[in-house]
Amino acid sequence: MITLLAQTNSQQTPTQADLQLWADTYSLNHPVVADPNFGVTGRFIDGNTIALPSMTLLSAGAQVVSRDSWVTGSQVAANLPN
Amino acid sequence: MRSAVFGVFALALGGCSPPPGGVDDPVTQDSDTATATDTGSVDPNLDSDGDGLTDAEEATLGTDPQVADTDLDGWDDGDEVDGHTDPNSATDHPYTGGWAMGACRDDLVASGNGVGQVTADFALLDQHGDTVRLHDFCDREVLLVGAAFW
Repeated sequence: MITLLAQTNSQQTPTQADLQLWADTYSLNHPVVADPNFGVTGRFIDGNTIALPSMTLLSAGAQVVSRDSWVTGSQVAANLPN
Repeated sequence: MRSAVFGVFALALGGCSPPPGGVDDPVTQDSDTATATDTGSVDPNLDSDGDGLTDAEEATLGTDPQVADTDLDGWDDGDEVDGHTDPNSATDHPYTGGWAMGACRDDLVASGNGVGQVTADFALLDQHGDTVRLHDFCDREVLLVGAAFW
């Protein structure tokens, strides 16, 4: 799992400290990365509105399985690598 | 007289010191063919710097067999090889956060962002100050969650 953190309360690009704060607040042990201007999140959105949190599921090989919609546990299980 | 003769005989039988220059040994004698002394006895498992790579492996990789961390990025050469990063590049090393990298990390070819397509790589700052690349996780499923402070 990778969290793409797009902006702070003041709509600025998150700093490393902001990313660490997010990871600490939610006890996250996966990468929390800064995504300036929703550059990566926006790849998987149709239209001009981004609903957060957004979810995109990639299978091994970075192949898009599901985009801009809620990801279910069964979808995750179905795409685990062998 | 008898004792003097005995003494000389004993000296002749007792161990002799090697003549100056050493004993002529067919193994060590110079010749046109390679010998054990000419090439030296090389331990194939020798790891001079203790970084987990043998000196022979380091010769193949181009890393320094006398320096555990050739590129001085804080990660020993053996750990970099195990982690699929370049032990000769200070900017390529395992993640501080411990996320494992796939061996296929440089093999993916992007084709688009639609379902069934391979999405392009990205390189973004993480909470540890490392630059995270999506394709480093090429060998596993990835869930991307977009979020923001508000």
